[in-house]
Amino acid sequence: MAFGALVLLAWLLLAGVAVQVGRLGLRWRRGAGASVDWLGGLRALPRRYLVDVHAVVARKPASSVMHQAIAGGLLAATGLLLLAAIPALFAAALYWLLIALAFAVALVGAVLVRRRRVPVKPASLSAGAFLTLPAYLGAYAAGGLIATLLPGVPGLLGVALAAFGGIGLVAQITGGPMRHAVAGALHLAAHPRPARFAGGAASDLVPLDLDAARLGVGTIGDFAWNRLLGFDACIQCGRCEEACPAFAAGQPLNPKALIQDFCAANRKGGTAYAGSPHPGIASPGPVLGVLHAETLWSCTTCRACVAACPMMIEHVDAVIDIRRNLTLEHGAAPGKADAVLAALRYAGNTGGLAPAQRLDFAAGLKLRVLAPGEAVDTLLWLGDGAFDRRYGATLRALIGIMRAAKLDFAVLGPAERDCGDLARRLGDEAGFAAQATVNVAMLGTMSFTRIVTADPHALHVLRQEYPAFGGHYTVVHHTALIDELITTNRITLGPATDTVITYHDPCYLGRYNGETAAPRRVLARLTGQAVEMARAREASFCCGGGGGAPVTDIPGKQRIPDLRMEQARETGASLVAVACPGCTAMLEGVIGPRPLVRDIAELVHEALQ
Amino acid sequence: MNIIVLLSAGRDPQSGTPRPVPVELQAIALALALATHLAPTTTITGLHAGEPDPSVLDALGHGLTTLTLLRTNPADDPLATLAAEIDRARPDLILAGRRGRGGTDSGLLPYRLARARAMPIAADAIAIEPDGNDLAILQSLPRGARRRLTLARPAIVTIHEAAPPARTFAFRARRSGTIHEKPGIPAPSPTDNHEIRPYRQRPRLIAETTQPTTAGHLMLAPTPETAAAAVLAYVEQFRGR
Repeated sequence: MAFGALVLLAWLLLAGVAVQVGRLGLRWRRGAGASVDWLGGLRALPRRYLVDVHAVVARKPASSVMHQAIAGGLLAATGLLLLAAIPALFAAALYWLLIALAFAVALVGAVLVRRRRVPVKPASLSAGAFLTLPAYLGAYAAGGLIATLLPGVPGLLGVALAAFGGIGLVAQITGGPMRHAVAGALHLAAHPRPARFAGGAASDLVPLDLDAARLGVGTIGDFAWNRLLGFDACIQCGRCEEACPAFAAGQPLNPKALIQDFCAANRKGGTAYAGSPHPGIASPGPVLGVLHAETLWSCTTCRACVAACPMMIEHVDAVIDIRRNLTLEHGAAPGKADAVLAALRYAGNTGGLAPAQRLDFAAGLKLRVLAPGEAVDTLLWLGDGAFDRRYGATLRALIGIMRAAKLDFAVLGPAERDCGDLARRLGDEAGFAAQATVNVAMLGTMSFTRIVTADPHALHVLRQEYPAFGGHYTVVHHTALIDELITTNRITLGPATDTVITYHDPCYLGRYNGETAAPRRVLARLTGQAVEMARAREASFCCGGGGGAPVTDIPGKQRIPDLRMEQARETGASLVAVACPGCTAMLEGVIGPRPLVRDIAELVHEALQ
Repeated sequence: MNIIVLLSAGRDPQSGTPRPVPVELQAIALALALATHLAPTTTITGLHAGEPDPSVLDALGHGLTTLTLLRTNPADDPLATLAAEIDRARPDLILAGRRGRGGTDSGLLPYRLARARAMPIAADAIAIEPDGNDLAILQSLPRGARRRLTLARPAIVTIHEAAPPARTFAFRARRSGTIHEKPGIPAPSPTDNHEIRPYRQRPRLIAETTQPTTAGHLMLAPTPETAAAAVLAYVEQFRGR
């Protein structure tokens, strides 16, 4: 009797889930069109879930155990119950024992879910509907367990308990936490960046159709439907919030609240967001009817949130999509952005300086300037850092190393234009496209085997974002070049010192391009005392210099570089090794006693023998 | 009211690439601010005589919605073309930059235009407001001084860099702006008669002093020893003070 009722309940719940998914589907249909490889996505779904998602979830082992117990237990128990429609199975005692086991695992899971917030709720976790979730989970699992183990009236009471929990959970699919289960699975199948799961970096921004009627995202319906689906996959675990440098600095951006703002913009009613807000700003704001523009301009595009997200949500893409609308349609990029973008548009560099000044740092070095039609082995891309005297010292050191290794190299000199990174991150896709087109055409007139650059932003743009504009190059970061020169004995270094050095991973080198090993190998040759900060490699903490943040300059309680320097101090290092003009400027701008800031090129140049 | 903003083919001073003249963009912003005081029938049109230079077209991204482009040879004198268009369009107000900024623009043009059409001209405005049928102009003078003027319409007003900032650039507006292209009037350029020579820094004029010099003497081509002795003797005066 209880068995039959339980099976019936499972089928009724499945029907309820189907109705709820239909309601969610209508919500996602408000989004713009997107081409999705459903067959490939669904086929890859188990692998994406068990390998890619698990790798992120398992960074917090307790969460991993919790999720395996609750999701595994619930899905196994319910799935098995549905199969009980087959009479042979319905009659098998072992089968019911298996179901009981699955419910028992789910019950343990429900207890673990409750323990996440009780007695103390960590700041990064949301409250609200999440506080009732363990009760529903527990009721469904406990009820199912009772119904499978006890005969007669107690068994029927178990079914009633399971029905209470199950209905509660199904009701939470449209507005509450259980939306994550449905949207999460579909999001993994219909992910807007499938290349992420194939081991690719897949961190390039996609070009915008500049003739489109609407530029970027101006209303929630301008997001592609699978982006809306992705936002709904969020379970508010708060890992993005913990990773976000802007949030840590008290700037008005909380990536978790940002995603929930998008969800709220795409539904009426539902449970209110009950997590930490965007610091220091009252919601809702005018952008999409939910956000303040300051929230979007606080982002350094460091991708720490994207790397931390177990649901593979693409926060940065969403931020850039809205920035594109603000900048291209309304000219609303704040701070010095308009002046900087104008300088880039008309002078070809972000400082609005004379193109010939790009070589001022190299006075007396007699660099070979590559002319159209000429050939060279290595093209040294200087980047806009060359205009800065401080970074000029790094470039001089790098040139010294390349000369010591007798490399055949040249620079573009006045013909080089900024790669357009800043314009693109500030949403000025038209400005970026103009830079990219000019640079690709200019590079096409010359012949070289590879481009070496000391600027990870230029590296990322040349390597990952110029292919869409017809420029396909082998791009090498200077730390990788130095590593190669040491390994192949093209340069010899003196003995390692005992200076305590910690290495700061640039976001656009580490997270965007996965290059974290080469700089560390080089550093290991320079010192026997290399120490790591708590946030290193793919989890590195931004210097605050990316995404145009120094240009838009949204105030917070603290400055991001001060936070990062504090993390460096905690290691006891006397020197922070950097590998990016942005990081150099941001970290060297930290006032008060602090470790020295030196580029790896400078350290290697000093150690040359 | 009908407002025309004269636009020049500006050049970026650093790279030499086409770039709108900043003060002309400020003129557009001033015209837009003036339009908020006036009837909704106010029209603001950009006017350029020459080629469809990107610098002129980019002005559409800064709040200008309509641009009249009178095609002439870039070497031509635009005066006749502009004067003819002004006769046709009958604007109440013509705004222009206050001086040449290094492109093919000339600071003289507004004055030549004013003379050709017998219009009043006021220089270096930073604010314009309607004053009955006239225009109240706030003029910027050196050292931050300001002066109020009243001009009868139609008038030409040149804009000063101290005017409120230009509207920010929006690609969408640049893309969707309307351009009316018409042929201009060919005219030989008067610049052919000008003498062109390299720029030379002029020595600063120093006012003649009225006080007679009391100390010191002039030494012409002294030997190093004599010069050193003179310097020492001079420095000795101050010892022990």
